[in-house]
Amino acid sequence: MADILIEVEAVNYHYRLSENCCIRALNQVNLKLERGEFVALIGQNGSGKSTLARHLNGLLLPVAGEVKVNGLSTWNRTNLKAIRTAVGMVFQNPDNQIVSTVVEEDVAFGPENMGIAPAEIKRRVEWALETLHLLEYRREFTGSLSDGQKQLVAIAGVLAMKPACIVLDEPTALLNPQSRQEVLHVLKRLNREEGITILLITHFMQEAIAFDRVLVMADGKICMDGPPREIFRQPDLLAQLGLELPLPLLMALKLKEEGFSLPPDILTAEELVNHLCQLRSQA
Amino acid sequence: MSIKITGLNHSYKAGTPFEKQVLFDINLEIGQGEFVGIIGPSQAGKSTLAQYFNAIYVPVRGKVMINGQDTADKNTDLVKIRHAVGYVFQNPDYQLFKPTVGEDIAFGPLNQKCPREEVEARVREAMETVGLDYHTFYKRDIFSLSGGQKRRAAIAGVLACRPQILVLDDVTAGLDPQGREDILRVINKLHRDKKITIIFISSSMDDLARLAKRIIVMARGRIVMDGPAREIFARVEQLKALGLEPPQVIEIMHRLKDKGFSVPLSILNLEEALEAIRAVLKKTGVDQAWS
Repeated sequence: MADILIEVEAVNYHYRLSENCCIRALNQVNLKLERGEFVALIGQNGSGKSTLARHLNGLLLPVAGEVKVNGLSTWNRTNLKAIRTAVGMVFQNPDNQIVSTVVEEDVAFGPENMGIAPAEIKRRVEWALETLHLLEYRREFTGSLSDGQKQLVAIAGVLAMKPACIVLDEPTALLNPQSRQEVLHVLKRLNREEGITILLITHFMQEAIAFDRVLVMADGKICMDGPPREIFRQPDLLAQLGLELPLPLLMALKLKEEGFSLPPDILTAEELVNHLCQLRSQA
Repeated sequence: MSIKITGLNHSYKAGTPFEKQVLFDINLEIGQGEFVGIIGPSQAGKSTLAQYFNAIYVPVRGKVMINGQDTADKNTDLVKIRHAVGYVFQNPDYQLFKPTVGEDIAFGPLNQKCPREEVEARVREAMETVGLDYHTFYKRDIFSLSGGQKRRAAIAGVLACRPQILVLDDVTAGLDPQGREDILRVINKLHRDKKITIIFISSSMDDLARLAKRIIVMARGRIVMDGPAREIFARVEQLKALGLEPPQVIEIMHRLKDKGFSVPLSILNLEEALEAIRAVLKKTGVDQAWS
């Protein structure tokens, strides 16, 4: 039987703007995340991605429906500590997350609050900083770091809590391409080596294609769910949802339209170039 | 309206044991109506330099002339300079501070002592320019906006001051593809129709490749490249060595070249790339099997 870590059942949620004005953010959302999955969540701004993410560790509680982590419902307040230890959250803006003035103190904040022994905290902080290549910054002021470095510190802080799952809400949005690659690398390694379940919200299609499973949200619903190759096989639907295609795929489709025989599910630059080479060798 | 910077150095925490120099001998001239992209890895000094453009920083070592006025001169009216040079911060949360969208956008013109009707007209125009519907958003609570909407509100607030130069610090970061597209279109329109000088700081080479005519590459507090976009982006190896990711179209061109396709490397956008691939495929005799 599949080892279900997070279960979202028929969840509705709305934001109340005023007495009689609501914005519906989640509309009957169902989702199962298995332990060890590597999942990307895409969708336009305002499609409900962040709202869904905030339900996964009980930061928001559903208006209707239920969210369970390790079988524990977020409805039950006494479960929240265990749930938030199991599901770590990294936000888009690290300034919302960093609480201490010194890097290593910030990373230690989570485990400290979990009541972990000082020697173990020290070990975890060391490990988390090392994993994210931040050791040289351990005594820097968090305020003097660039946004990119701050985000890495925020991730390290969650990592130090050794969660079963990390939910990341556009953690790479403010990073330069190199640190973005670095973060993705780290996430993949955490997933493959430590077995940590990863759910990443992103606007970069190039990032999404590196995941095992892609969820697409629109209007508060999950409207596509599958491996990236299947998701990006439906360019018209994605365009309707305001999402763009990975560039190599876009190029392949345009060339295909002109009659060059290229497959409709190219995802990377490497694949595109290989197929073009094949075309040439057949000529 | 032009910017001229000579011999600019900048240190944080100057005069303390924590002193850290972040700009080294910057020399730079930006003319009226230019569209300049500034790119560089984090900690390159991009944002620090940009904050000299509208006298948020005033030089201690070096000289910054905005429209011929020295920002370090006690007689220069810095407030006027800040009205003429609009600055949109990377993070809209640093910029938006009024409870509603309308009030926030009106803040600048009110400070410029514009009459009430003029303020309203400017708010309306600015909202229209960035694509925020006046009736829907005027009274909206800032906190209820999505990331893309906040970004647009922040730009509208700066536009309402009627700047001649617009400095945009990585304003497309964190937007969805549609939102990014919208913002880029707005910026392009401002440059083309209103002849506003644009200084566009970005970590996305793809965005810059599409818009900027001139690219300045910064690294470790120095300007390391400065030239026409096409020339700069063709220097893939150098860019990579700086930790920058060349636009993906150029990446693809390089891969093709490596495989022996004779395609040009100085390409800026999708259309040019497709044209080049089409040409080379036809030349090698690949059939277009119409079906």
